[in-house]
Amino acid sequence: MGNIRNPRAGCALHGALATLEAIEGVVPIVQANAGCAMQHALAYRDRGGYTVAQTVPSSNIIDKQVIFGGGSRLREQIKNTVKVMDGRLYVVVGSCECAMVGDDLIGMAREAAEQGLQVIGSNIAGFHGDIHRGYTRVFLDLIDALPELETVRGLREKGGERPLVNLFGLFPGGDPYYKGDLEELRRILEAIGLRVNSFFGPGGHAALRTLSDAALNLVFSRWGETIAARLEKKYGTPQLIFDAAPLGIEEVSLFAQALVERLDLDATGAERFLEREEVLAEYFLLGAANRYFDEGAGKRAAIVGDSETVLRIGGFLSRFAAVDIRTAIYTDCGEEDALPVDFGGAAHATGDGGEIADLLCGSGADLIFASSLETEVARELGVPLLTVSHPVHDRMIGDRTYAGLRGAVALGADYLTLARQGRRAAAEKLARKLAAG
Amino acid sequence: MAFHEGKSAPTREKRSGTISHYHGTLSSLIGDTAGEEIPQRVRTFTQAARDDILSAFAVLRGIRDTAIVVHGAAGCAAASIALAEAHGARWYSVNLSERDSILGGEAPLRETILRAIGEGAAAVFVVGTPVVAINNDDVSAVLQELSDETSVPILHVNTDGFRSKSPLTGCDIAFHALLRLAEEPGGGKERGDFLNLLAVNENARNLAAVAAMLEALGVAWNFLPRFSSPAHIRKAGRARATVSLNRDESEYFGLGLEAAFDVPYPQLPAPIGLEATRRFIAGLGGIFDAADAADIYARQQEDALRDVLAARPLAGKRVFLQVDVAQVEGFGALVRDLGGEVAGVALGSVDLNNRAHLARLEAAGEIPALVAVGQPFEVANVLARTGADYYVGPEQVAFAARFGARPVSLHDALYYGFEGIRAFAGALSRPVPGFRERVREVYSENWLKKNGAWHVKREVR
Repeated sequence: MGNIRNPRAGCALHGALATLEAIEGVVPIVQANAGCAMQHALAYRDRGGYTVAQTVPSSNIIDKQVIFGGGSRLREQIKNTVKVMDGRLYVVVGSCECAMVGDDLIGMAREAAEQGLQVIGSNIAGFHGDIHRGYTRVFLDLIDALPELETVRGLREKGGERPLVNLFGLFPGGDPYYKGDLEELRRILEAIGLRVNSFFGPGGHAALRTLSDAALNLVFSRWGETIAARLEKKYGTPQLIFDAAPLGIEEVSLFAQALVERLDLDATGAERFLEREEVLAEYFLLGAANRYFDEGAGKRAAIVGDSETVLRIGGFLSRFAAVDIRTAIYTDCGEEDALPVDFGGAAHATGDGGEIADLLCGSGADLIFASSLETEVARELGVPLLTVSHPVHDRMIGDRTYAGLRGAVALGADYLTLARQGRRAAAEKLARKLAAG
Repeated sequence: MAFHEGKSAPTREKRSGTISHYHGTLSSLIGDTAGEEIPQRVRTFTQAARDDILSAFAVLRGIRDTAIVVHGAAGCAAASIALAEAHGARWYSVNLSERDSILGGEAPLRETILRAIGEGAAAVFVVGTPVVAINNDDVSAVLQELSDETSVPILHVNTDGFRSKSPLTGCDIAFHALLRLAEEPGGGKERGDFLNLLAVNENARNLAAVAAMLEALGVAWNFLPRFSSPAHIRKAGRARATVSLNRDESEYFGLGLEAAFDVPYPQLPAPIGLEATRRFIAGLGGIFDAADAADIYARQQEDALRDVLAARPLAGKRVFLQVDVAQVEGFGALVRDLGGEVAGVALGSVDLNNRAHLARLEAAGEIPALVAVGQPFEVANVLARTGADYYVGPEQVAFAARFGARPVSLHDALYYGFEGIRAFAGALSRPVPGFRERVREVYSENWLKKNGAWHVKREVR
C-alpha cells in the first residue's frame, strides 16, 4: 500500500459512514474508540456538499473493552441508540480495533433484530481499504442483511407502470457533487419514463426497501459493479455498466438510447425530451462560443480525482472544449489496476499528495481540475484550479452538478471562467514584466 | 521523578481526576469536586467525540517545518483534511494494511519517517493509534534505530485512542514530546526577555487580539505551539515566563517548562470579559515590570468600551454557555457585563485543578451544569427542557435554533481582550437567518423529554 502524504480518502469505515449518513432514515452505530468516527466527521464536515454532523452514535470503547471485548458495551449502545436517535434503520459498523479484538458485532446486531429492532451489522474495518471500498462493502452488507428485517420482507413493491432503476457508483466521498449529480440523473431518467432509486437524499430508506424491485441496476463507476453483481445473483436484476456518469448531450443521448432499448421504453418521448434539452444546452453554452475561440479552446489541463470523476470530466472537456489533458491522475487506482484512459497525455495512479504535486508541477497545465488539496500547488504554479474531486472545501456545492445536461452547462461555464482567470493572470504577469522594462 | 520525565504523559484521569460526564447543577458540581476525588460516571449511550489522538493533532499541526507521521491505517489521519494548515506541519499516514496489523507496522513506519526527513522535516512527530497499540508495535526500537542515523529529532507521541476518556490527555502527550525539544538556558543561550504564550485551539483573530495587548505593553512573545517552529519550541526554556490562554489544554507544557527550566508559570485567567482581561493585562504588567503601562492601557480600552457596556445587549436574556472550564469564568462575567444571566453551562471536562474556577462561579447557583465532552445529545436535552435565549458554543451550533435559542458560534469569533468584548456584543445582535425554524432534528422526542442522566451509571471498580 505504501505511505501517503496529505491523505485524501479516509478509510473503509469512513466510506461506510459517509454512505450511511447520506441515506435518509438510516443511523449508523460505530463500534470503535471515540476518535474513529470523529476523524470522519472532521474530514467531511463542512466539506462542500456533505451531510455530516458530530452526532454519530459511537460506543467510544476504552482500554477495558479492548482487553476484555466490547460486546456488552455494544449491546447497551445499540439498545439506547434506538431510544435517543430518530431513525428507521440502524446499521452497526465496525473498526480496526473491533476487528482486531474480535467483537461479534453481527451477532449483536442480530440479537437486537430478534427483539424487533431495525438493526443490521456491517463487519467493516478501516484497514480494509479507502472510502470507495467502504461504500461497496457497506452496500453489499445492506443488501445481504436487509431481507432479515421484517419490514423489508413482504413489503416489496412489484410491478408498476414505469420501470424502476437503481443507481450505483456515485456516492459521498467518491463524488463531492453526488447530490446534484444524482438529482440530474433522476431528472433525465424520469423524463424518459423511469422511476429512480438513488438511495441518497430524501426517501433514502424507502429506496432501500424497494431495491429488489428494480428492473435494471445502473452502475456509474467501478465501485458499483460488485453491488450490481450481488443484486443480479440475489434477485436476478440485470445491470447496465458505465465507466462514469454521462455528461453532455452526446453522452446523455447514448445513455438514454441504451435504456430505451434495454427496457423497451417509449422512444418518441425520450427523443422529444432530448431535443428540447439539446436546444436548451445550445442556448446556454453556445452563447459563449466566441469566448471559447477567443480564450478557451485547446487549453492544456491536468485532472486529479477518482476514476469516475476523471473519466467523466476529463472526457467532456476534451470532447467539448478540445482541452488537451496532459496529465490524468487517478486517485482510486492501485498499482495492480490498469489505468482507464490517458486522453493522449500521461496517466498516473496515486493518491499521494506529494507525488500529485510533483506530477502537476511537471504537467505544463494551464488549468487544473482537482481537489482542494491541490490549492497550494496550483497557487505556487500560478494556475487556476477548479475543485471537482474529493475533498472540496473552497465552495459550498448545494445542488450544483457536473453530470447530465445541466452539468455540462455548469462545467462549460466554470471552464470558461477558469480559462479567463488564467488568461488574466498571465496578462498581468506580462504587463508587470513590460512595465519593469 | 517529575511527571514530564516518564515515557509518556499519564492520563488526565490519573493525573488530576478528570471526569468526562456530569449532569446536575453548578452548585452540585462544585460540591462533587470539593473532595479528594470526583466520582466517575459512565454513559451507556455515546456519540463520536474527540480522543487523545485528535487533541495531539491540534497541538502539533501548527508547527511549521515539521512532519506529523500518523502510525495507523489511512483513516487515522483523515482529520488532516480539516486540520492541516498552510504554514503548519506536513502530514503523512503510514497507511497500515490489515496485513500490517497482523505482522507489525515497524517497517512501513521506518520508511515513512525516512521519507518525511528526506522531504525536509526539521522534526518528526510519530503519533500512535489504536491499531499499533493493540498490535504492540515496537515504535521505540524504530525511533532509537533511526535516531542513530539522523540528527533530526524523532519524537514519539504515544497516543492510542482508548486509554483515556478525556481528549485533553492527548494535549499532555503531545506536549510531553515537545518538552524534549526545549533547550536549557546557558551555553551562550541565556534567558530571554520574552513571554511563552501557549495557544492550541485559539483562532488567529483571538491571537491577534492578544498580540495587540502584548505590543501595547512592549512585551515580546513566543506563540507556542500554534504559528511556531522547532526553533520557537527550543527557545521556550529560556523565556521570562509562560502563560496559557487556555490552561485546560496547555498546562502540561507550562508546568514542564517550570519544572525543567525554571520558567515561571503564573496562573492568569483567559482574557475574556472585562474583569478577566483586566487581570490578564495586570498579570503581564507584573511579570514584565510594566504595571503602570498595563494600568493605563486597560483604562484606555475600558473607556473606549463604555458605549457597548451601556447598551446592555443581553438585558433580560438567558445565555447557555458551552465552553472549556478555563473560559467559563470569563464568559460568565462577559454575559453579566452585557446585562444577561447564565442559563446553564456545558463544560468540556472537569478535574480537581478546576475547583478554584468553579468556586468563583458559585453565585450562579442552581443553573444546569453538564460535563459533556463531544456529546451534543446531552446539551440538546438540557436546552429542550430548560430553554435559553442564546446558546454560545464552540462550533456546530445550529441545532440550538431548534430549541428557540439564538446560536452564537465561537468557531471563528473574536472574544479575547477588550476588542473581543465589542466583537462578542456585535455577534449577539447579528440577524438570525430565516431558516432557523427548519433546522433538522436528529433526536427522538422521547429523549428530549427524558431526564438527561437516564443513560448514565456510576463507575464500578
